[in-house]
Amino acid sequence: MKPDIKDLILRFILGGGAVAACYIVLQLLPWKSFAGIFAAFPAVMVAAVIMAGISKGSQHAADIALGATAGMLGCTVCVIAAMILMNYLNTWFIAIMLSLLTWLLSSIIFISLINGFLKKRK
Amino acid sequence: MLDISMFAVIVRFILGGGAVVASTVIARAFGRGIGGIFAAFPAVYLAAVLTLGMEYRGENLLVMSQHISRGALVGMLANIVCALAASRLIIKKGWQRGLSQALVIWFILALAIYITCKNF
Repeated sequence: MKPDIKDLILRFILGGGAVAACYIVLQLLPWKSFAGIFAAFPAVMVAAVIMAGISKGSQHAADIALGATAGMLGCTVCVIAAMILMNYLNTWFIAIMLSLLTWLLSSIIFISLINGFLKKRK
Repeated sequence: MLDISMFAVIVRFILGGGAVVASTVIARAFGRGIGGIFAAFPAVYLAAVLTLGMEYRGENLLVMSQHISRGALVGMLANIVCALAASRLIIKKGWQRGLSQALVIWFILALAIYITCKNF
């Protein structure tokens, strides 16, 4: 099997597993917000680090993990924006769409900052 | 007591996995610039919130989405520490052990932040 297909299958299983786990925990536990922890499972980072580790070794995998920090900061901004917007707008879909816009803008900033740091480190 | 249907679990598994794969494919199609940003798309969070729309409506949907978002915020904060820890631990202990230990740190930290915030 090609590494690219393996990578996509791994991402599918990790991403799907995290969303399914989120739903199961939401139904099972009385603390509903605990389920949200699984909605934040770093599936993309884990898959990217595993594939980088297999194909290019630990140093490259470590760089991927550090690079993922920028994406996680952007995702954190997205979730904060979604919470605030849902509270103020009381409109579920528009709040989610606007939070995606904040994700995009903040990710652009964080990614350029981390890329600058990674270039300096090399 | 258990109100979980296997069909609902499978649908969420497929939608969650599909969202992650779709964002990966888009990221690769756009190359390093815009693609790099899409590689960090919050696909799991979005799939988890959007699939709530299959189960809840109106005010309930907003309340459940806020519950999930609160937990996701805790998880995202733990993610940042997990990624930084992974980048250090992978260099020291190799990618398998480094990644495994970083994920243990992620779960323990998320749990600790959650319990701390719940008590305040």
